[in-house]
Amino acid sequence: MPENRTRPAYRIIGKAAPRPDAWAKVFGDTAYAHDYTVPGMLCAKVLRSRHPAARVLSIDTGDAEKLPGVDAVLTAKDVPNNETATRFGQTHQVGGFEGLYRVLAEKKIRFKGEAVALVAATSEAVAEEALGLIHVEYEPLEGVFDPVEAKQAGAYQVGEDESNVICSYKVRKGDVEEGFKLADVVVEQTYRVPMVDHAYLEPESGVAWLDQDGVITIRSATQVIEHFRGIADVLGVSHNRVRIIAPMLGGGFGGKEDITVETYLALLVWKTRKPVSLTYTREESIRSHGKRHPYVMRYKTGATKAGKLVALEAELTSDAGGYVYLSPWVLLYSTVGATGPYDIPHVKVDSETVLTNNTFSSANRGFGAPQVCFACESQLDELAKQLGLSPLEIRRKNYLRTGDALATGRVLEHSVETEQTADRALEALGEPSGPSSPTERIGRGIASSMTSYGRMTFLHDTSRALVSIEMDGSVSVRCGLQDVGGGQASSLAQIAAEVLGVPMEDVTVYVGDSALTPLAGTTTATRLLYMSGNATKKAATAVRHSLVKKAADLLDVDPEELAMGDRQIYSAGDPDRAVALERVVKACAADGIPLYDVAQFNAPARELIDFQTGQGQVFPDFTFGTQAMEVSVDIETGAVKVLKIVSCYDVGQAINTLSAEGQLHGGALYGLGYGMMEEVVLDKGNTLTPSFAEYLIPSAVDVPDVKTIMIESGGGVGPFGAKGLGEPSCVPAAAAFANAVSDAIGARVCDLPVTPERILKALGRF
Amino acid sequence: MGNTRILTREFEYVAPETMPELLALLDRYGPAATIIAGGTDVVPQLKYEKISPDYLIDVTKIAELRTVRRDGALHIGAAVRLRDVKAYCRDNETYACLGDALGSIGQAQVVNMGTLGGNICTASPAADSALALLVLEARVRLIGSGGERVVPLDAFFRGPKMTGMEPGEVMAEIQVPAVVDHTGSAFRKIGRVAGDISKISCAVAVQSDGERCLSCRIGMGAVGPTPMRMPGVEQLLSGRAIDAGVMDEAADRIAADISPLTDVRSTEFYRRRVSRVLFKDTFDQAWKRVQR
Repeated sequence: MPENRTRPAYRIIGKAAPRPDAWAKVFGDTAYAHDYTVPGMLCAKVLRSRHPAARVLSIDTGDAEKLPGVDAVLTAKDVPNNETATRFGQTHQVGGFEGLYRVLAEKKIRFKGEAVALVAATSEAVAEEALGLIHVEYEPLEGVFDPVEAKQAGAYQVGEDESNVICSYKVRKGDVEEGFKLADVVVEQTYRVPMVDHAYLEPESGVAWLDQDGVITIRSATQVIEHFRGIADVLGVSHNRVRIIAPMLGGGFGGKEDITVETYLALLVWKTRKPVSLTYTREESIRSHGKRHPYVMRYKTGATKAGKLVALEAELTSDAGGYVYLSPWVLLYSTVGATGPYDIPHVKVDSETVLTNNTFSSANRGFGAPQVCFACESQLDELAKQLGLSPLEIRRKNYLRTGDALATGRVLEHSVETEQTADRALEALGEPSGPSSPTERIGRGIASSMTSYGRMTFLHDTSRALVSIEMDGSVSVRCGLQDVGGGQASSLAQIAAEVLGVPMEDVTVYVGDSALTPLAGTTTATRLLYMSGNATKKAATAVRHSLVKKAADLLDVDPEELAMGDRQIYSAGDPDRAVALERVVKACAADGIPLYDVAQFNAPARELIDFQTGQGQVFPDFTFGTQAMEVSVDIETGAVKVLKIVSCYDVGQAINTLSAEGQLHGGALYGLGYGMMEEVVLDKGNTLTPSFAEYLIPSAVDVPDVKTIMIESGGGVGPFGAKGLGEPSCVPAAAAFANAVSDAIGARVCDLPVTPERILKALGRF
Repeated sequence: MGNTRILTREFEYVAPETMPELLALLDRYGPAATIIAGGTDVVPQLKYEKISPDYLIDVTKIAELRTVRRDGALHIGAAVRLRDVKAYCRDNETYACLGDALGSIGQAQVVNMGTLGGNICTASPAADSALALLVLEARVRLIGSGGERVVPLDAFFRGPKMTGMEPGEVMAEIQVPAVVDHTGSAFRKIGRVAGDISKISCAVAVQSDGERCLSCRIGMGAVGPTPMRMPGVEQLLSGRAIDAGVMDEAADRIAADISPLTDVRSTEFYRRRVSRVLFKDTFDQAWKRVQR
C-alpha cells in the first residue's frame, strides 16, 4: 500500500480496486484482435525483402495472381500515396519531426524484412504459397550497419537522396570546459546498448472490412486508433471514411504505436471489397517490426572531491535503422534526459540519430530514457567509487529538487521526491544476503530516473471524454482510448465513480472506436491517465454539478453542503438529509437538464525548443523513482542471480493501487531483461534471434518478487495529483542491475546486456 | 523461413499400433515419411519448413515403445515420455545423472510431451538426456525390416542432427546397463534462463574407492558437433587419487579437448573458460554420490 502524506478522503481513488477486465484474462476469455472473425474473410500475408540493402529492379506478380484462391496482390504501384509519415494526434504542425516511411518498398530496400508486396487469399496457406510465386528481382547493395560508420562522409547512403543523419540536437548550459576545470575527478566512458524487442504476448494483428456505408473499418491491436487519418491519406480518401476499433491489447510497450497491419488491411479491403485479416508470425514481428534504438553513448562526467557534479558532456548516436519513424522524437527524449535527475552546472549534450540498413527502431517503453539512464547512472557509480562515496551519497548531493532547473532551463515546479525514493528503495533491500558458495560475490546497485509523462508540449496534446448518467443512475464513460492491459479503461471507471458517488461496478466504459468514442489520443508517452483521466474527471464533474444543483433544489439546501456517495446525494453535515441519485437523474431529465458532458483536456501548449541550446520546455511533468537490486555473481561462470528488487516511485496519487503496483512489477522486470539478457542480434542486417528460442526474456522462475513502494506526494498533473507510471517504472532497472553487478565484481561492464560472457571479460578471465 | 502460425504443407498423419505395421509403413513411404513422437522438435521443423514430409508417422500408439522394464539393464521404450523417465529416475538413484538432466529441462511442455527416443534422434549437441545417457554407456536398439541391431550411443551420433540410423529403421528402445558398484553420476548445465537449452553441459559417471578414481566417463554438451565423450580426460583420471591438483589438470584438458563455437547463445571463449568450472562441479557432485 502506498504511503500518504496528507491524503484527501477519497472513496474509491487510491484503493485496491480489482479490475473488471481481470477475470476474463485469467480464464482466457478476453477477445484479442486475432480472435475476431468476419464472414467471408480473406487472409493476408506480407512479402518481405530478402536483402537488407538492395535496389528493386522488377516485381512480377503474374504467377501469384493466377493461383486459385488469390484475390489480390499489391505492390508499391498500387498504393495511392506510398511515401508517408507517422504523424498522429498532433494538433500543432511542427517541421522536421515527420516519421517518414514507405508503405511498400520501391526504389531502394532499406532493411531486411521491409514489406514489398501484399497478398489476400482464401486461406493463410494459399496466401503463403502465393508469396513464393511473386518474383522480385533485386540488385543487392553493400548497405551500412553501424550508425557511427553510417554518419561518416562517404558512407553508403541508406535512402535515395537524404543524408543518413536524420537529425541532431544540442543542449548547452554554462561552459563545460570551465566546468571540467573545477572537477577533481573526471570519468569518461563509452557505453553501448543493444536493439531489443517489445516481446508482447500478442503479435501484430487485425481484421478489416467495408461497412454498409462503405467505410473501411479496421479492428486491430493498436495503441493509436487515430492512425485512421494517416491510413485515409495513404488511400487518398477523406478522414471520415476510415474507422479504427481497438480491442483489448495483449501488450503494446510502444510496439503498436506506429501503424502495424492497418494500412495493409485497408489497401486489401479497398482493392477486394472483402473482409481481410492479417496476423504476423512471431518471427515476422521480431524481424520486421520496430525495435528499441541501439545507442552508442560517450559520457564524460566531472565532480569535486565533495562529490558535487560540476560538468557533464555526452555524445549520443542512435541507430534508427532503415526508416525514420519516431527516431527524432526518441532522440529528443534521450537528449533532455541525458543528465538524469541531477543538478549539473555545466552541460554539453550532442545527439544524432542515423539511418542504417538494420531493422528500423521506433517507440519502446521508456522512449529513449533507459539508454541514457544506463550511461548516466553508471557514470555516477564510477565517480562515487573514485571519490570513496557510496552510490547513495553521491546521488543525494546532486539530486534536482523542487524549484531547480534542468539543463534545458525548465524549472521543476512540481513535487520532486527522488531522494526519498532512493532512501526508501535502498532501505527496503534489508540486510545483505551472504554468498552461498566461495565463488559467489554479492553486490547491490541503485539507479534513479526522471522520466516524462505526457507528450511533448509543442504537440499541443488534447484528450476528450464523454460522461453520461443513465435514468437508473448508472454511469457510462465514452473515451477513445486504447487499453493496452494496464487498466486504462478501469481507471476511468474509478474516476467517474469517485466523482459521481457510485460504486465502480455502476460504471461502464466504452473505449477504442475512432468513429464512436470521443477522440482521446494515443495510449503512449505515459499520457493516458494524465490526459484522459483529466478529461473524464472534468466531464464527470460537470455532470455532478448539474445533479447537485437539482438535488439542492429537491432537499432545499445549499449545493455547497452536498456530497455524493452510495448512489445518493446528501448533506455532508446531516447525512440523513439525502435523496437517491436515481430520483435526481429523473428530475433532471424531466427538466431537460443535460445528463452528459463531453470535456476536452488540453495539456499545456508550448513552442519548440531553441535548437542551438536545447533551452525550453519539452514535457508537461516528470515522474521520479529509484530501483535497487541485490545480485549474486559467480565469478567463475559469470552467472548472475537477482536476489532482491525494490522499485520505489513517487506516483503522485495512485488511482488503483493494484494497477499501479502492476506497473511497478512489470516495469522492473521489463527493464531487468534489457539489463540482463535481451538483445536482437543482427549480422549485416540479418536477424539471428527471430524467435523466443533465441531471443530470451526473463520468465517467472528467473526473477525474484519485486518489492514495490509508492510515495504519494499528490504533486502530479494528472487527475487527483496522479503522475504517470507506465514507462517510468521500467527505466532505471537495467542501470540498477549493471550497478549491482559492478558492485559485486569490482569491475564495470559498459555494454548491455550484462551477460555472463561480458562479466568474465570484465573480470579479465579471458 | 516458413509460417510458424500454421503448418502450410499438407501431409497424411498415420498412427500404427504395432511394430510390424510401423515397419511396413516405413518401407512403403521411404524418405517421404517422418517419424513423430512428442513433436517438440518435429513440429517446429515443420513450421520452419526444414522438413517437408508427405507422411507423418506417429509412434506413440505402439505399446512396445512406451514401456520401461529392467532385467539387469534398464530398457526404456523410445516413445516413453521424458516426464515418465524423470519420475523413474527420481525413484532410482542409480541413474542420478539422467535424473539431473531431465530435471534441468525448464519447459514443462517439453518434459510432458517429449520422449527419450526423440531427444536422442534429434541429435542436438545440446540435448540434455543424450549426454547423461552417454556417460551411462547406453545403447540404442534399432529395428528395420531387415532385422535389428544394437548401437552404442557414442557411435550413434554422427554430427548435428545426424545419426547412424539407416533409412527404414526406427529406434525401439534405449538400454542403460546396470551401473557397477561404487559409482556416482551427475549432470550440470549452464543456460541463459531456466527455459533455455544449454549453452554448455557436462555429465560425469565415476567409480571410486573413496580416494582414487577407478574409472570414469565424462561427457560434454554444446561444445562440439555431437554430445562428446572426453576419452583423454577419462584416461588421465583413471587410477588417480583425486585432489585439487589432479582436478585442475583434468579441467585444463577438458578446456583443450572441446571444440566450441560462437553463436547467439554464447561465445567460444566463454564456453572454453567455464567448461573447467562446470566439469569440476559436476565431477565433484558425482564423486559425492558414490555409494560406499
